[in-house]
Amino acid sequence: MPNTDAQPPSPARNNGVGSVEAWDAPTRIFHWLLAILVAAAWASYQFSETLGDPVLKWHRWIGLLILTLLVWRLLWGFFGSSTSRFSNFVPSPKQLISYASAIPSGTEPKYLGHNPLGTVMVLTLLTLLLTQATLGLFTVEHNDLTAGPLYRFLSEEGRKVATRWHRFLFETITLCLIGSHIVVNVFYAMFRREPLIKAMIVGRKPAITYTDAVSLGTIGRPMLRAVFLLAASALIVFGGIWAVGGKFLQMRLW
Amino acid sequence: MRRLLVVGMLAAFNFSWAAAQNLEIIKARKDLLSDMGDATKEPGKMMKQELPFDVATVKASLDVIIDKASKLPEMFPEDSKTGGKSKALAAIWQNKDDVVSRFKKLVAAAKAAKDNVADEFDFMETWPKVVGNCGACHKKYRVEKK
Repeated sequence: MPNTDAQPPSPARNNGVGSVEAWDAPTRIFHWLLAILVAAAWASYQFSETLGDPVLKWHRWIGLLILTLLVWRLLWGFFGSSTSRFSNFVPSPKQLISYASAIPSGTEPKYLGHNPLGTVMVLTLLTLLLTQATLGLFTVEHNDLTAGPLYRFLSEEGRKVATRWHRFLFETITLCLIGSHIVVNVFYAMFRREPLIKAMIVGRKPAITYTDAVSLGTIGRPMLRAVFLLAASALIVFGGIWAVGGKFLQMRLW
Repeated sequence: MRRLLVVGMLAAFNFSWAAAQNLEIIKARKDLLSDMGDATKEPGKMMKQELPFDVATVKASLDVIIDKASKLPEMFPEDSKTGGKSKALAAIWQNKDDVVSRFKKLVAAAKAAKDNVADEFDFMETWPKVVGNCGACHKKYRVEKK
């Protein structure tokens, strides 16, 4: 029986048979949708000539969708199931050091949700993507063909800086972190027998003893709650841009 | 010691020769590109609805693009790869045919736009097709600003 108060059940011993729920459906959908959209954002910029899209309308739409998803994830960190809640997985420095120092000997504890190092990676990636998506709102295409909806709020020099950082962040730091994220997950699957990638697809992990919880602390009607929060996120992003006087330039896709 | 001095002098000569090669043509090339960049500024503001559409300004800009882009295919001789703060990537000389065809495409697009741009709707439709060529070329052949 799942726990329904979204609090992680007290650690106890699973019987080692079968599997337990680890990630709710909205969190998994968010994860894979974000991965697809980030790849699409890169491709829509890199291949804009092939796509016949010099004004980068696809790139800008995808950027706005990424921003909406990230705002949703922030809200889900407060209203989602137990393993998605920030209050349940942000580690103390002591936990972080203790976990990291146990890795070389292979004695690190198992976590149902994010382990402490995984949490650092997740929070860093979310912060980077949020920064990058926000910078995108202020960027100007270097031939003045188009711009993010809030470009007018920066000086010409400010827009250039935002544009450079928008690209620099992705091509250097974000891409490296995405690569590390994938490599580390493959490492856990191959050398620690922790099927983290599979768990993010099917939502379940082996029924073994976990440090943080026995099983997922679920919430009532997660999909309905997720859809409601998604609508709220879209309102925050699109409504916020509109409310401060932002301009959506040439966004018609067809 | 004398041998070291000779080697040093030769290296210095070689370096200064390499750095000074074809500065004139590099400067001329940069001026042409810069003129084209300047010509896109006002229509760029029209694209972003900061300035009202003005067909005369747009056609004047297209004239500049046609003129400068027609001259550019000749501005990348083999000995103009470095120096003069050039942002040209070596890929230009490895894909010379592509670069030349891109300038021809830009000229053709600018001529077509000049013939067809009558109102703001035409402008919104055709201007990106012209200037999109610039961005696509910069992506492949220009050093990215950091």
